[in-house]
Amino acid sequence: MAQSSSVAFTVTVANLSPAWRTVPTIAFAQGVAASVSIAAYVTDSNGDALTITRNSAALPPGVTYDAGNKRFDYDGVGAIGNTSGSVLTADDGRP
Amino acid sequence: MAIASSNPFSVGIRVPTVSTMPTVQDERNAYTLWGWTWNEATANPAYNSAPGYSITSPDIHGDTEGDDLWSYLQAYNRRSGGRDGYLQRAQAWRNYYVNIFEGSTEYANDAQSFGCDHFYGWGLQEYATQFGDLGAAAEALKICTRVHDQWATRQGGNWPVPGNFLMAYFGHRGGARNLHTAVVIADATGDAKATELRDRLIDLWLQSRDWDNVNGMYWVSEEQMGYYSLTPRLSYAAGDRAVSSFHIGQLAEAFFAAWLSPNVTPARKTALRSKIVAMATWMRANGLDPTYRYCSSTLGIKGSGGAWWSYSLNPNVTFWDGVYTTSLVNLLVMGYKFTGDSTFLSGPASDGHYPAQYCFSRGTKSVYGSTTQQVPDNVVGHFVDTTFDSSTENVYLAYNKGELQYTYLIFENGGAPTVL
Repeated sequence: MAQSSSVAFTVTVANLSPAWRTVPTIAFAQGVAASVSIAAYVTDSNGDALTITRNSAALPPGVTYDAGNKRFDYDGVGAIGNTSGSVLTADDGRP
Repeated sequence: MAIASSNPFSVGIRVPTVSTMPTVQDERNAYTLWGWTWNEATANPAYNSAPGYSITSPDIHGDTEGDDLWSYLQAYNRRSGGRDGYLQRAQAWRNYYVNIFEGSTEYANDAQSFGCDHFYGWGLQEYATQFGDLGAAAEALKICTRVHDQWATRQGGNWPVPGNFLMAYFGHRGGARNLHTAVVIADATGDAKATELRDRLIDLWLQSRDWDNVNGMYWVSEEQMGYYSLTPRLSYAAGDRAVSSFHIGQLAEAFFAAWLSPNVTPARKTALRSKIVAMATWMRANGLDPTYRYCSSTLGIKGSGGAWWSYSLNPNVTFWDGVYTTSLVNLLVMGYKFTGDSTFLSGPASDGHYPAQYCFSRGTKSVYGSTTQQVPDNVVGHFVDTTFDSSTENVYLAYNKGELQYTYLIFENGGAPTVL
């Protein structure tokens, strides 16, 4: 009579890096306070929560980056201007 | 840590887009100014919801003739109430463009076989700006980039050369829509490809050899006259020429958008303005058939002299679609705005003289297939873009996919447009 036995395996799912879609120019209308979320531009296939930081490239006066809410805010006061070179980095907190 | 960085991108604060779109109250005021009466409940019904409306696989080349997203967005913005159904329709088109359009067979068909002549993008960009919708903005830019790349390789793998390319060869709508898209997206984003596309298309139009400087009109090619089923009744060799009425309406809108842009050079603006006035002048004199007092889908000149209209080319006229008369309205108002000549705008019509208000009245009160007017001269048949096209199961707006795109200027300041 055949005997059965059980073997336990531990499957380790590799942690994948977050994936970005192309972030387009973020444009605000002068005089109109507004926020633009960038959360939808990055995903994590493991479902990890992401921390998104911004590099040190200058922003137009009146525009700030709110890392906690993953968005750019414009106060509606800053004058017309344009800056380039903003880069966002997403970190899933896992090795 | 698993980390990843985005592409470098720009952040900008731009000149706000000031909506100059006349409201429905402006439309009411215009009707009142003209002495017209209406029943609000039937002529301008509330549209509070669009249950089940979704866009998944529209026949982009075969069915769309306007920027549906733009039309529905304007219908929503022009009202303060009874309007949510229009926004729901705009959102359905937004979702189609963002999630389905690229990669669809409709996209490939229009891009590969027809040079993107049914690509729209200005409505999607306006939606993106209004709602801070980055997904819509990204897709609008992608559409514009695709159109740019198509033009950049159009003539022997390179950009067409101004003066050596016939912009109206297969009709005006493709080059008109592509220009309109480039103008709006260049202004909104400052994107280099959009800006290049805008300026190159303006120069191609301004120097196109199918411009008739005597009559003040762009004519299509002999080949296109064949597609319009005009030959052999008409003869290109004999000097007969043709133009599509609604194509000219769309070209005028693209030229006007470029003229309004703060980023187009003064020299280009001056030349565009001159072309608009010339086209308006020809249409004021020749836009309508003098017997039936309607425009037709195509019209033009005869080499032997005079004008013709496609529906009355045959001796026994049994069919007319007066909707094309509406296509001329904004062009004629532009003629007024650029010259101050009020005979472009209003006043009595006579043979060889058809002002904008007259064309609006004739066109919006026409009955498909008939020469009989729907309602009397002093009664509003319907407010623009309030009815849907039953032949497409109400997916599209009635009257050639919407009338506002051809008429909104006549409502400016309640029927008193400003002179520029």
